[in-house]
Amino acid sequence: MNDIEDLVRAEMRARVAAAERAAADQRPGGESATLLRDLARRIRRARIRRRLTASAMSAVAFAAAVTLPLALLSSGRAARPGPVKPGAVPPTDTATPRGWARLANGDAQISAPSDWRVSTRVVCDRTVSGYVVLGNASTSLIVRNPRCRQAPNMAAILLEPRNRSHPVGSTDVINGIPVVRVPAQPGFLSYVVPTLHVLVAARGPLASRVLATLARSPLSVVLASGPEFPVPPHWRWHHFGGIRFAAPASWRVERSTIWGNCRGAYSMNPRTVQLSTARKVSGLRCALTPDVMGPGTLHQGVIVGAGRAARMDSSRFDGCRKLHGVRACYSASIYQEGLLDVAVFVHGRHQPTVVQIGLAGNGVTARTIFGSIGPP
Amino acid sequence: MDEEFGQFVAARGRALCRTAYLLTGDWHVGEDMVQEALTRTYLRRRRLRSADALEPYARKVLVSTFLSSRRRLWHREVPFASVPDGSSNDQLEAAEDRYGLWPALLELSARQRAVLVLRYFEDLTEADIAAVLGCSPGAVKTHAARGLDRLRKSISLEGWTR
Repeated sequence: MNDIEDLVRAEMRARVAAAERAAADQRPGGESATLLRDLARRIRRARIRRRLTASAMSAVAFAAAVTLPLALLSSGRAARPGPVKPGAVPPTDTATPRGWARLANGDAQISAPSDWRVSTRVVCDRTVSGYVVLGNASTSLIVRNPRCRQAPNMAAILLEPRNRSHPVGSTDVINGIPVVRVPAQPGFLSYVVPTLHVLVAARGPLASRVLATLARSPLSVVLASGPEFPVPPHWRWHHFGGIRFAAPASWRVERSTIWGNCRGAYSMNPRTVQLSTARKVSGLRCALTPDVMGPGTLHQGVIVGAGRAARMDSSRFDGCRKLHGVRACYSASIYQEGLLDVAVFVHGRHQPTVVQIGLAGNGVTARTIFGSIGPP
Repeated sequence: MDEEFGQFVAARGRALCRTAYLLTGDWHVGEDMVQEALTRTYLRRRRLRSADALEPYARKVLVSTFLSSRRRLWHREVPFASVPDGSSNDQLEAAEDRYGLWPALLELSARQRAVLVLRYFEDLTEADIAAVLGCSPGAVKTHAARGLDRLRKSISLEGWTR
């Protein structure tokens, strides 16, 4: 035994003790109960994934068993689509195809089949048909691990620095949005979108179709400069938490004592105005991002938190606006979950009222709600 | 989840979290890794010889999950959705910075760190560590020696002579 070994031992024990205390403070009571609960959920998901994989493999085997003999027996050449060669994305299809889900990052949005996974990095999982990477300029799409077996399809929206100079390359227009084709890895289609400050890329048989759905994200519509959208006369005004805001009259109004959901707008009650007075954050530690998209999983809605539980750390603020005389600071850091978080500082209240706006659709409703926030 | 496995998690889950924390340097990331390791262990538990084999197997999966996550290029990237609300942790800040040893530990290679954690925190023998890492005891010795050597060079202990 020498001194460095003793030091290492002591350092490790001290660090673990401090980290354990910190973790216990953050989540008082039932550390192992939480672990068990989270684990049970994860095991359930793993089992479902296994079952689905097994079913998919059986289906593929069955389909092969049926179609192969038929193909061999047929006289003509089997019509088989060849691999899609990288080429220009057709400037069509602004709509999200049926069964596809919209997914946004920063100012851009694309649509992809709803069974694809969403990730912040490259996924080594052959069992999924595709996945979408939502990342930033430093996110690498290159896989160097030779054992990594990727899904056949992949798409990505990577945020680009706003001050980045426009790249040189062949220009194109997708759904009215100018794009610049940039060189990429073999098999990839890759475009820089200067007006939306993103790079979009895709590979695989569905690459062109996915990139053809490029559009402005609801977030960029909400935060774009310009005049406020007028509140339609049939909308209903709500007064809660020291603020006033408008929402479509058809939306349900729910009073709640819950604050803190796992999946942002994915678990938001659709077309609902939720008014929360929660004093304690509910819910467990949640997954960071939804790992499976689904059609209609993103919802339009508003959640307003006026209780002690509804808090926003100022370090998360991405910007502030004056809305009808009140200061509103917003954060899109959980934008992957389809929410715009807004802290509204109301005179006379010791903490801001938090408004969460669901960012589904084209962003017009969300922008109107955001612009309607003001003092009562 | 069956009762036996639940008891195992309740009894040993926390210990695995501690090891995972030392490997990753972040309690929550470590916890996530432990859950991943326990999930895989659960799904393979019927192939293990006995209940006693659960912990070594879970530890082995945990370490291999850590090593493979470090091998990937993106391990340095922090997903932007995971930015913690708080900028610092008082208790961790307050922990004594022993000669800058902790940052030096975190800068070791993944294998070196794994060996040191298993050796000096878990108190495993070289043979046991070799079994966990799937390498020879000689390789374990080499990793430990190199890791300690790097720590010696890194720490800022005044008058350190070794």
